[in-house]
Amino acid sequence: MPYANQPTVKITELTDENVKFVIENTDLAVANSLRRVFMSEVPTIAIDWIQIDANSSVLHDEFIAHRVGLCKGCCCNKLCDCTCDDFCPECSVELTLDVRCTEDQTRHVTSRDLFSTNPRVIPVTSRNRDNDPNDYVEQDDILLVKLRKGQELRLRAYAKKGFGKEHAKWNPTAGVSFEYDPDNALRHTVYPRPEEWPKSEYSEIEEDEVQAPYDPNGKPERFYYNVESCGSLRPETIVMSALAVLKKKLSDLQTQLSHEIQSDVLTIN
Amino acid sequence: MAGEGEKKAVLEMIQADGGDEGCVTFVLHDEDHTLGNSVRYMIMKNVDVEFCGYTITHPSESKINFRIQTRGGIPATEPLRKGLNDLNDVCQHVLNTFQVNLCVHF
Repeated sequence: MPYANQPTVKITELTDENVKFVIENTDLAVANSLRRVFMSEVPTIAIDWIQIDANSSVLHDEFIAHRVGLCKGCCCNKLCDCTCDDFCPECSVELTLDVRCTEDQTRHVTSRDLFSTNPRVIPVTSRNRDNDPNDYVEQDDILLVKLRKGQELRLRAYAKKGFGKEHAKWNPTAGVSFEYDPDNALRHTVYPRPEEWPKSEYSEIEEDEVQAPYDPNGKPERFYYNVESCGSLRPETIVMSALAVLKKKLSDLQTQLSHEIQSDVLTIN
Repeated sequence: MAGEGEKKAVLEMIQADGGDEGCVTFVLHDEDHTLGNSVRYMIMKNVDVEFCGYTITHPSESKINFRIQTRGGIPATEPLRKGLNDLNDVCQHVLNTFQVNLCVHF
């Protein structure tokens, strides 16, 4: 390809939550597009419709609905985008929650209390606990509301596929760290006092230097990413889905363009 | 014209004057800087392109105006098609390299 770059990718670290990698030999525009797609266009599953049958807790209905919506769902298979008006088993998963506090001590209603009808789609934190029952893991279930004796919460919800552009609950990342030119050789940032700023972990200059010498002809070339997943998808899955989504957008645009050209040709003739 | 029935047109072409095919403004619906900036970069690397730019008409509407002006009488759809192709290849290459890297090291 005469004009296409051949970027190189190097993965430096991969854990259950993070993936750190470096992309070289590409441009800032493409690298930024990748970062944007990681956050806003990777589809995940989150609760989108909720019906509260009983709520005598201290939080009002829409408060609880908002909190429940932000609980991430993790899924092993993919739900399809179907065109039905209502929620059907093809495109959504039903979840229920039914908690009543009967003891004297406060009952914490967490994401673990959300039960889904489809065993492959569950709220995020439950899965981690089931895997190691012997280890003492910090209670990382998402707290929804606390109930006193006599209070109850009963609701039905449907979870759907969506992506971060529509609502932040569908954002699979907890954060995407994006860095280039760690020693500020291009002077894209102008520090009033450079010696105050800590060095980046990717810095390549000596201890006593604060910034690399100015390079007027340089271009940003090496981009360091650290994609942290919130738990609904594995981090490498996020990266690969993002690339697939970007390719799909481009190919859709290409098909549309060829249709436009054809229809233009037909109208002229 | 694309977009009959309920289907919304994703891409429209607007030509200012009738004769010159080299200067075209494309209106891309449901797009933002994610595609706009990267496609613009790919098209600008093309030597035949005299001008390439995009704007977001209003932040509340998700559509961009993408303008291409070519020199030498080349129709403006050519560099757009090439740019989309090149960007697709870059993404494919990154995907392949990432997967290879993943399998080899982890």
